[in-house]
Amino acid sequence: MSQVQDLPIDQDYKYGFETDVEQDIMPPGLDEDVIRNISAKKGEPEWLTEYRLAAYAAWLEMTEPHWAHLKYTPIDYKAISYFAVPKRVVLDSLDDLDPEIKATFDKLGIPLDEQKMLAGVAVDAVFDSVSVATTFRAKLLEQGVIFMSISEAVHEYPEMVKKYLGSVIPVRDNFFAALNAAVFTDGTFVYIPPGTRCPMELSTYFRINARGTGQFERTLIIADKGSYVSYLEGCTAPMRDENQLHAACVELVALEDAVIKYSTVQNWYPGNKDGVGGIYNFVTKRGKCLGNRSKISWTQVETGSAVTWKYPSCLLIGDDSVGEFYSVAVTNNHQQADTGTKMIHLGKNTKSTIVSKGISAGKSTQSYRGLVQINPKATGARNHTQCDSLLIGDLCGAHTFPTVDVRNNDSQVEHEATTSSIGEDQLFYCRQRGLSEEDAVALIVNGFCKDVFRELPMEFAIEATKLLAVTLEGAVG
Amino acid sequence: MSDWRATFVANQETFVGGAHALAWREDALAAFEDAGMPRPKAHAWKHTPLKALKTAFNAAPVAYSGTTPRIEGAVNIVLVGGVVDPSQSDALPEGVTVTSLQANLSMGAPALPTDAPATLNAPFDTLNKAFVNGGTVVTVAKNSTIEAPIVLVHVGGATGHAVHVQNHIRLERSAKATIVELWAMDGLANALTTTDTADNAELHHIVLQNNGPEALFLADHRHVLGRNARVFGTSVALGSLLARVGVHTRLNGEGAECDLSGVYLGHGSQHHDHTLRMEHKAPNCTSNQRFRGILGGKSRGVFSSLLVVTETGVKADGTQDNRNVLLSETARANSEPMLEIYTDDVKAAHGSAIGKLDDEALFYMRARGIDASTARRMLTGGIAREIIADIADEAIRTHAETLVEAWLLESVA
Repeated sequence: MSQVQDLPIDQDYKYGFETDVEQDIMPPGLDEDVIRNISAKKGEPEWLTEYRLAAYAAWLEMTEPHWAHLKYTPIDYKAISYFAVPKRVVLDSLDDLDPEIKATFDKLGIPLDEQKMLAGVAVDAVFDSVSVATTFRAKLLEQGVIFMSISEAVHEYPEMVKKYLGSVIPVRDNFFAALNAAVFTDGTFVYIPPGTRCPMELSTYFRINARGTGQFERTLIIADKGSYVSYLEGCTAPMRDENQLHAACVELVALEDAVIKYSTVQNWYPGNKDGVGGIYNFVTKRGKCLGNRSKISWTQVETGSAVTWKYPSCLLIGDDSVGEFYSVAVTNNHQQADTGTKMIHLGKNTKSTIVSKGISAGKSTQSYRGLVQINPKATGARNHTQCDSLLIGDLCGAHTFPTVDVRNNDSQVEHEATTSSIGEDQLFYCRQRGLSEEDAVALIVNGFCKDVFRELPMEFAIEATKLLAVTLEGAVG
Repeated sequence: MSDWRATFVANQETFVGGAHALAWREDALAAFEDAGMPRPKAHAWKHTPLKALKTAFNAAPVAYSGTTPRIEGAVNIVLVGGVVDPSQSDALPEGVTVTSLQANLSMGAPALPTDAPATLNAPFDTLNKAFVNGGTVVTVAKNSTIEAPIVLVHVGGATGHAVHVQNHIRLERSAKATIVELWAMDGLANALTTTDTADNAELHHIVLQNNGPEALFLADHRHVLGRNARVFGTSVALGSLLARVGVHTRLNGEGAECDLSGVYLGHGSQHHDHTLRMEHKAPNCTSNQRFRGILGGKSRGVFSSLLVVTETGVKADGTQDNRNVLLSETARANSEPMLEIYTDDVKAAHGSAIGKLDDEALFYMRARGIDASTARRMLTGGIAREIIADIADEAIRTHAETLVEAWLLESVA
């Protein structure tokens, strides 16, 4: 009956198709009953229901933040359906996966099939509100690595979830985080045991499919002492003329000597050329370097979404801990992005590096907003920030709002930023050597982003380069 | 808030301009009351605590008996509590007129230049307007080059008292002049300075702030530049317990150029705040900002600067550069060099750094027999001199250096 529809797809956004699967969708609206209902449907323990209700109570008292350099039509939180689940979801093996969903993920190029060993990536796929498939679970568990959807983890490892959920992003942290804590439906849970190097890249693929819904997933990654994990995240959504809300939370905890590398290729539907439709991407991402010598590294490539509001942050609590943030954000047409990072230095000899590259084209606007805070006890702290903006076209905007707050005299903080357009001499040089204008721009832009792309795992780096080219298509000439 | 109104009612007899001026003063006070004191987290004041300004300050004039500082080799115009004192002031060179603002107040509220940008010190600009009791109007005639710097020496004031002054500086077409504000006041000094630099004119605007240790200083600078106009502003901030300098510059004519530099030296619990906004509104404009902070004790330095290039400000070239040295464990620096750019044909760059004195440089000097405190003084002095060297006029530069030397001897051990 249902099939993956081959809708006429705008060449600019090849993931714009919609999959017709039977869904269990809650009617739009949000109140305590809806939250109890979500919790009941997922068979959650009492403490989690209480946690959600407390978050909801906190959310009601909060107001939506408007300090960001963004303009968007107000969100009607009553019109969103907070729960959408493909009907056949209880799976024993991947063979039970709804063929339509599987076809969707195939179409997106996600290696769900465990046979595809070559891909070498363990995937958790989240379709609308629930995690539909997690691959390589058994293999990972042999080494003690727990990789599963957070709803399963709530039942299988309740103590661990209870201990860490909300420990990095408290319920009252901000408006969207509170909303997420109240209504989050699924997400990924990862635990790496002490001294373990996770044998493969872990990956989550997020897909918003149903109309009139929002996606609120929650990711929790705990790297125990001396462990290492590299985690990738990808996202797409169908093309629609409505704006859909994506308000996720990602919490990372790195204990002593642990390393977490978190990479994102964000390619939500950005809306059409006239700025109609697209995803509102209001995400809270934060990592806690709890142990000494721990390290958290954020790498992000942001090409999608109509509006992005996102500041992956590091709390550097352990002595000698390290935080890194590498970001490329590309906006075209009417896209808007207000993104950056926060590095809060609390431990001694903590170090952080920020490299942010912003490219604005068309009528888009983009802002880098960052905070580097060196607290009195963070002696010997070190930060270097480099943030560059490239403007293509005279109707776009690029803004930089860094904040540096240093409260001891034994630290070194540097911030550098530039804003410029592609030099006519650079273009001329490339054209003279036979490159077309588009190729020349792609070459220059890729060079501009190189510092960030080399931090990405290889498969992602290739995807990112392609995405960049697609996003900027038609921006020059 | 009612405190300020009570002060207003109590002092209105003494206001310059008499009954004619009361109407616009009332309006300004009402505007202040409407706005209210900024909330603790208000964006424009988030790094600058306003606790000291919560109570109203007496606006009645106070007697002054101190020695008035003068700059040798310059034309000194002395303002006691904002009122020009001709007996202490020098004769003016040809091409410049300085009139006391008081003379104008009975004819209406002081006029701001057309296209003058908005205040960055809101809502204290309204307070200034409501209570303004002095200041000057300085005009430099077209095509005149004034060699000797004109120094507006501000003295007077007392703890618990406020002086609200306005200095309006206008350089006509192709004029060139150096106008200096030398501040040595006590109590609250709430000052508005507007400069209007017409086409092809060149203004050097230098602020040497050496107020008393308990003084509060609110400076509201607004610059507007015409075609090919040049403004070189330098701020040397040494005194005051709390000093906020808000500088809003609008590059209104094609090819205008504005260089702003500053050095702030803090000890004890001093708070120095430089909040800037540079607007490139016309094509081919250039702006540079260079600020240095030297902060010891429990002092705090704030540099918050926004460079805006509007859609019409094509071919803009803008830089922002802020460096801070923290001399003690308890000093604190905030640095926010911000860019807001709405067109692609620009070159903009900013940098900021916060750190301590270079250990290697200190070691190098110690190894050559220079004692530790002298070495530290030389290094910090060197940072301050980077900025002071920007002052073109020798007499002013020498005076600024003397002030900084004295500060270093007192504060850097």
